Amino acid sequence: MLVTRRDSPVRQSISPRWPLLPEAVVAQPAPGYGRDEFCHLLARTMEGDPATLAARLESHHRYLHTPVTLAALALMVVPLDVALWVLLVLSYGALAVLAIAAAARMRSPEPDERRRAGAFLIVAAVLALFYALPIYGRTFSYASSTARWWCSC
Amino acid sequence: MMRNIALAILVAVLSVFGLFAVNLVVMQIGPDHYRTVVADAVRNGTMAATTRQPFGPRATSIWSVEATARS
Repeated sequence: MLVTRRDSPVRQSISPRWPLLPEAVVAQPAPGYGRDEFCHLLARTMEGDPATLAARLESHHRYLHTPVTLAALALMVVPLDVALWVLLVLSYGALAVLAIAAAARMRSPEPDERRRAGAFLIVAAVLALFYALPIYGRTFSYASSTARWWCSC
Repeated sequence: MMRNIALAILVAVLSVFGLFAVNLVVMQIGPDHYRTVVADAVRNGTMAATTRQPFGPRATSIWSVEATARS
């Protein structure tokens, strides 16, 4: 979405836009890129494929909106590998905040509060072990939302 | 109650306009800059990076996992 042509900055600001291509075209693999169709579309855009450049732009106004903004801001200043590494560190940091806050509340004099804190501590441990953070923590969409969610707990 | 609802609506509207304003500023950065970022990521292998989970069936691309979760 960030590398495609911008037909209108205002429309692009309201909702990210990308070229609309037939599924059969997007399904073709792209060496050097990921296996997702989004990656294939990115490869075609990067290669300057005439069909991609001429394709009609479609709005993709879904949950990707804020992550696109986050990616645009991050990639303004750092390369992709550094941005993904920072996201991973922030994800683990958010999880650590959740675990530390829960551990601190375990010293509460109220039994209900201690039970609640124990539950959050278990949640933090389970997330650390089984949430596949090395994968999800390195994506603009999941890392940004999960880190925010864990901090809000 | 009404005051809280009005406040919530105000926060929501301001948030949407705030996001739009940030997006408008970000869109001033041309696609060429991001093309350079992507080209660098392809060159250093970040774009096709895979990771191995202890209980995972196979090496998994971070991007394909995202696509699987979405679908």
